[in-house]
Amino acid sequence: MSSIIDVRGLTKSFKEITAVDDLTFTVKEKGVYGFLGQNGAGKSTTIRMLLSLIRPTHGEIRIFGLDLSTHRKEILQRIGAIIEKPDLYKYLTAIENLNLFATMSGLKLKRKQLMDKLEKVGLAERSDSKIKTYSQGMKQRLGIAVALVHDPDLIILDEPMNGLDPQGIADIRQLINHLSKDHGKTVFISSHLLSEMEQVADSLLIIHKGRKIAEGNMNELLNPEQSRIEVETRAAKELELLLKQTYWADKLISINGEKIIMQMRKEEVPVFIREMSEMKQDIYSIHKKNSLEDYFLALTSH
Amino acid sequence: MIQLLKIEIFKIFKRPRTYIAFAVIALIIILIQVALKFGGKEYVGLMMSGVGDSFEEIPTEIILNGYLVCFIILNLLLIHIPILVALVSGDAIAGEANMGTLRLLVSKPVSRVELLIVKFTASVFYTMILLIWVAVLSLFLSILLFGVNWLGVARELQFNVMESDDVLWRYALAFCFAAIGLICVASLAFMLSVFSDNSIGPIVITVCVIIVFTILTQMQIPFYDETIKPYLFTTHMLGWKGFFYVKAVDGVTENGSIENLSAILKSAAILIGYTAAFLGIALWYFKRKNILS
Repeated sequence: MSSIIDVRGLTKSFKEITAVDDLTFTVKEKGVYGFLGQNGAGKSTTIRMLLSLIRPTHGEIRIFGLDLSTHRKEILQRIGAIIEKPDLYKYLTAIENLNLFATMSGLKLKRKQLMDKLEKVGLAERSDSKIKTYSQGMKQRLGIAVALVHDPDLIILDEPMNGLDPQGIADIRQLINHLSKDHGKTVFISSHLLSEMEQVADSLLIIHKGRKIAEGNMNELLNPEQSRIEVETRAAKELELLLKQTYWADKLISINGEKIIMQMRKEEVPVFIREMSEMKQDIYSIHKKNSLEDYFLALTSH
Repeated sequence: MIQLLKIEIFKIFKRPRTYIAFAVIALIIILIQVALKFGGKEYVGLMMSGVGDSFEEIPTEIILNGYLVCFIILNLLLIHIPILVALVSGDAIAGEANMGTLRLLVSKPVSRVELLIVKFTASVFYTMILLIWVAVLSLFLSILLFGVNWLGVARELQFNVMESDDVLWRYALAFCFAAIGLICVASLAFMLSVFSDNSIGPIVITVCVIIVFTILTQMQIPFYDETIKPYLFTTHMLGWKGFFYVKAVDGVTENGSIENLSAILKSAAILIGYTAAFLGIALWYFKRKNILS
């Protein structure tokens, strides 16, 4: 697979503040690439640099193999984007908004073609209503129609699930999967909804304070072979001492109050429970702790 | 480029606020016309008071014809129309930033220079339509209501008379000159709009600049005549009046003449220079601007 986005040493400083610091990453063709970070980590600044809304202080951005600083127009022709909330012209109707942005992308679409595109996002019936009468979810769907109107190869979505109800979030998730799996599009998506990202993303890039702290395939990063287990017990200290005398000592990671964190393979979990029972240890609960959220918090909480 | 321009013009004329200026202008012009229709005699009496006895016998209906009414309206209005122009030009970029649509526009495959030129051209188009509206109401409606005759223009120490067949071309050129002046104001508001993410700021600053500069222009202080006034664009915006100042030989005005054409051309050149400077600054800044809104 060839790379669609290739970023090298990207840095953006606003006076004394460095929002993005020497960021290097590659997004391969096709699939969904999740871009994670806490608020203020530099996600939106990075996305704005990818769309040439912000000029980098240093670094190089290549998209579709072309340098963004010299081939801006050709690159943007093949990108569809939603940046934060999809603000459109409130005093225009949905079809007028869609037509306007289609024209800006160099397309001349007839009403029937525009209606087909609105039909796909479920807005055909409200095509002639002004945007100011739309709900947040409807605006988001129209924003997606606008982003996809010119059939882009790369779709960049910055927090597309913000302000949506559960049904709206599910619709967006379905649409992302559809675009990626059925149409072979590359989707670069930033979100702070970690459970949603876990469901849609194939690969991840995590940044913290403007710097990359993790990048790779979702399965490799979360390592499902090695489960992180949280064991709740009556006397954690006592159990820790006991475990240190057994072969489970290697599996011990940390102790947190009455909870012990361990790492072991999936098939070792029932053996561990059995042995604890034989040692007459009171185990109140055992939780598997290798969700994206746990991984993300472990990386960014220090 | 033409498609983009059509989009921008479509957006301007789809906004209800665009029509405020048209309504305000229509209201003011009609109010002036009504006032002159019913109270014109007093106004003409006041105007002719310093002219001399030779005009005393002329009936008011002859002096107060459509051409004079148009001149009176332009005299009162051409200082205030720039404020209405600022409403749209000051909103051109800042309004998009405020609505959150600027980031969408700039992320489309259109160069920033192209986008800015298209937006400025659309603002100029709006200004021209507004000026045509002023022309239709102030000149043609006045001709319809008051008829035509010779035009008398009172100046400080003289009274210029132009035959009725010597007036219309002067108005055509005066409106062209006014267009240059209004485009200059539009470019100022447009430039300020590029620096802001909220349209209130550029509109208010433009209006303040126009008010302060107009006060300075009209101040009768000799010190300012040489030091400040020649550099204010508002001073040169009054250049349209020059088309109604005619050459006179032995007290008889010369048909088809303009007293000081070079001064008018100089003012036009200065206004064009200001426009180019404002637009140049806007382009320079917008090309480098980080779109954070």
